[in-house]
Parts: sequence; C-alpha cells; structure tokens
Amino acid sequence: MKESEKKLLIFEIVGSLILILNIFVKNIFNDYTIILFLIGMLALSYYMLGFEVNKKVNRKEIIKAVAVYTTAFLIMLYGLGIFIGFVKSPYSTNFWVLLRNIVPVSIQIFTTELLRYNILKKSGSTKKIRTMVIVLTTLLDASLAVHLYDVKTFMGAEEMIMSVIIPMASKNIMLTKFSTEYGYEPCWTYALIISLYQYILPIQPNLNIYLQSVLLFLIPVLMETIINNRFGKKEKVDIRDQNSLKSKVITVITSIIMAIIIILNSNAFRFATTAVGSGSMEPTIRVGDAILIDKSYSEHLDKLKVGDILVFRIDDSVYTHRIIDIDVHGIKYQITTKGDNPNNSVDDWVVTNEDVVGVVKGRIPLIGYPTVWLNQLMRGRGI
Amino acid sequence: MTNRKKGLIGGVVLVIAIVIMITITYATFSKTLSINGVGVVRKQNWDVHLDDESLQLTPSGSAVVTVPSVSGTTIGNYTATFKSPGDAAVIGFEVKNTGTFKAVVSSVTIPTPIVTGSGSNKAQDEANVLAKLTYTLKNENGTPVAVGQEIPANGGVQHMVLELKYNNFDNPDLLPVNDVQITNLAVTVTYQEAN
Repeated sequence: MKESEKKLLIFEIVGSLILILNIFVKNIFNDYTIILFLIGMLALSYYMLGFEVNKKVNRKEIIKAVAVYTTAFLIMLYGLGIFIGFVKSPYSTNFWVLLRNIVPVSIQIFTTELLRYNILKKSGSTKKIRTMVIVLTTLLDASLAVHLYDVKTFMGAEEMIMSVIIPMASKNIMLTKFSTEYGYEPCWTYALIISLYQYILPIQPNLNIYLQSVLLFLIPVLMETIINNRFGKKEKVDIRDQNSLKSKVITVITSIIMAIIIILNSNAFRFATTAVGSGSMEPTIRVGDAILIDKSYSEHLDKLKVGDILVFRIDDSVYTHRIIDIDVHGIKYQITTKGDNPNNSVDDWVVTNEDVVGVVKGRIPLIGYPTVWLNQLMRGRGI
Repeated sequence: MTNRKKGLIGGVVLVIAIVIMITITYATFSKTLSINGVGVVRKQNWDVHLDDESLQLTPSGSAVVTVPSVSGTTIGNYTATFKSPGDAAVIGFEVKNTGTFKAVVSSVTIPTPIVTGSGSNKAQDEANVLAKLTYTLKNENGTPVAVGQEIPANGGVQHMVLELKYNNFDNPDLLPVNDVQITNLAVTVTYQEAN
C-alpha cells in the first residue's frame, strides 16, 4: 500500500471513530457543530493532499441529467401522495426560518461532497479508499439523525439501521461513484434537491417510515443505473446480451414483484398484508401464512357478512377471526367473532366500528414465516 | 455469462434482498402490520357442578328430613320421615356452570321410588303408599327440568327444586298400618356442551 493511501485510510478511520463515538457514546454534533467538523476534515485533506478543481468535459450535461432525474423522482413521490395523501410540512416557510433551515444543510452538503471528491481524486480511488469514504459519509448522516433513536436498545438500533443506515449507505454508494467518475457538482445537485425540498415545499406526501426507508434506498440505486447507462464507460459486451427481450421481461417482472411487495407491506393503500402468528384460525389460516386484507371494509361496515374473516384490533393487538354474528343498532355495529380452530370458543369480546381493520381476501402460505420467527425471537429476548 | 452480466444480476438480487429485509423488519416491529394476537386460543374447561352452599331444606308438614351432603355433581343420601299424608321433603339447590362451554341438559332420570313395607299388611301398605308418592325435579318457576335446558358458560346458574311428596289419601282406610321405607331416590341430570 502506498504511503499516501495509508495516511488517507488513517485519516478516514479516525474521522469514522469520532462519528461512532458521537453515535453510541455522546451525541455532540448538531447541524452547526458538524459543519466545524467537516471544515476541519476538509482543511486537513487539502493540507495532506492538495485540491484539484473538477475538469470533466461533459460535467454540465451530467449535472443537468442528475437535476432532471432527481426532480422526476420527486414528482413521482408527490404523485404517490395522490393515493396515500399529503401532510403539511412541519417546517415554517417564513423567510428567516427557511434560511436557518437551508443554510446549515447546504454548507454540510458542499463540504461533504468536496471532501469526498478530494479524497477519491487524490487517492486514485482504490477499493479500500472508496469503501472507507462510503463508511465515513454514512456515519456522518447517522450522526445527524442519532438524536431521533435510542441506539442503546435493540429496537432503537434496528430502527436506525433500517430507516437511516441502509438508505444513507445506498445514497453514499451512488454519490461516491458519481464523485469518482463525474466530480463533485452532480453530487451537490442530487444532495441539494433531495435534502432541501422538504424545507421549501409546504406539503409532503404522507409516507410512513417503511415507505420512506424503501424509497430512500431505491432512488439512489435507480439514479445510479440511469446515469451510468447514459454517461458511464461503455464496455465491450456480447451483442446477444444487449437489450435482449429476455432481460427486459425479467426486469419488468422483477420491478412489478418489488412494487407489489412494497405496496402491500406499506399499509398505505387499500390492500395490505400481514403475517399470522397464532393458530387460532387453523386449519383455514396457519401460523406463518400471510393474509391479504381489504381495508375498505372498515369504512363500509354494511358490506360485512357472517362468515367473513375479519381483521380487527382489540387493545393493542390485531386479531383475525371469523364473524359469527353481526348486531346493528343504527350505525353502531357489534360483531361477535370466533377462531376456526376447534379448540376455540366464541370470543369474549365484542368488535365495534372503530376496531375493524378489514376483511381477509386471500392467503399466501408460509411467506410470513420469517416475520413470525423474528417476532418470536424478539419476544423470547424480552424485546 | 460475462462478468458485467454476473455483476448486474448480483446487484439486482442484493437490492431485492435488502428490500425484503427492510419489509420483514418493519413488519416484525410495526403495530399496524402486526402479528395476529398471541392470546387468542384460550384454555378451555368443562365445569358443571352442584353448588353446596345453595342447598336448602324445606320440609313441609310433619316431615323430618336429614341434610344430604353435596359433592361435585352428587347430592348424597338423605332420609325423610313422613308422619302423615301431606308431608313433603323439598330440597332446593343450584347447578353452576363455571366452565367455558355453554351446557345443555341432555337427559333427566327421575326414578320411581321403591317402597318397602313391613308386617302383615306389607304388600297393601307398599301399594297404597307408592300410589300417593310424587317425586319431581322442577325449575324455580315450577316447570319440570327438561332436556334442552341450557346454562350459560362462565358463571351461569340454574335453580332447581327436588320434591318428594306424600299426598293426601281420600280414604283413610288405605293409610299404612306399619312404617314404610322409600328408597331408590337418586336423580340424575346429565349435561353436555351446547352447540
């Protein structure tokens, strides 16, 4: 390993350690102090490596493409809001408040991307250096979000990994690649649009945490694919591999399956799936089966019939039992339920209007077993 | 297959795996996408029994009746001494269903008492007394305990009255000359789980 590469790795490892301590020991960084940290790291990198301005010939074209595609993704996100609804932005659009929100985030983005570019450009972009850059910048993003999670608990750490680490790692993998091949300007463009829209626009799509995590993970993957296809180095490939119908069909089918998984599990649309963890409905529905729920019945209780398999909430749990009696007093429904399992007797609760989630419309055998297994593992650990 | 294609396939598989992993993790912890309740299959039990604290003796006329014991589903032996026609031994009790299954009466067996006389007029005494005995099991409202009667689960109660009555004679010449014993009085009410 070259001496300069060694120095760079040490530099990145020290930076990463400081951020890890910030996440797990004491959270000292906020939107302002992190800027000082970044400026310090940037200054040190300039001192160690010097700095070179990006001289890529087609960088304007790349910047424009990144801006267009990032904006297109945002438009699609807002289009999703037509189905799942919008919420008022929690950020004030008062000019001074806007400035107070936008300026620190913009400075963070400028300094981070310059640091990324400088390290990658001057190190020759070896695999080790690129990996450490991704780790360092992901830890940076995690440092800014750590105050929202209790990382000392298993659940808090798990939530942070799913909603911050994985999506931010995906973003940083993309930005590292862009920085290596196209310079820092396309990275600025992407990061500024994706980070600042929430402060500027008065409404946002009502994405739940699951949809946010999945979309923030997938958008950089798609961006990288599109930009790489347009501007990336063309390799000699077998003519039979290019644009074959088979690969297009596989792409379309894979995309549709992924979209269905995301839509059904987001719980943001009419149909949702959930895994079944108890045997009270055996043999009709077994432990580990996933059930498809039509949630429109919660708004149209008159469509309920005796014999339907109802999904409902009692206290803090969700149950799936068959309707054996419906008692209607005006608009007030009182529904009696019973599990199909021969050991069950009639449930000793009464399901009312507010308890109804939906009606089971289908069953996929055993597909929910990983969720059931993980849930039982968590319960076993008292989590 | 070229290295590029292998890399692409690997990348796609990795992306799908990560999306599935995020989905499973959120489904595990989400209250909305929650697992079916764990406590739904409850412990079941069958428990239909006589309530010993409910036993009430109401002898009428000059009858003398000993207090029977009650154990589980059985009222033990008792004796009733009738001195004159019109006497009756009345035992009130409750049947309780503290189980989780609704219970229904599937059979009621009220035997014909056996009368045993003594002395020279034995046969005549036995016949005469037997003709004047009535042995009934009724509900609190006076209707006979019948097949199909239900006791709700989880605390349902049925009040019953067992009455052995020595009715009046129209002809005093038919009165027994000597003492007469009456046996075979065990009454059986069978319950089963209602549909």
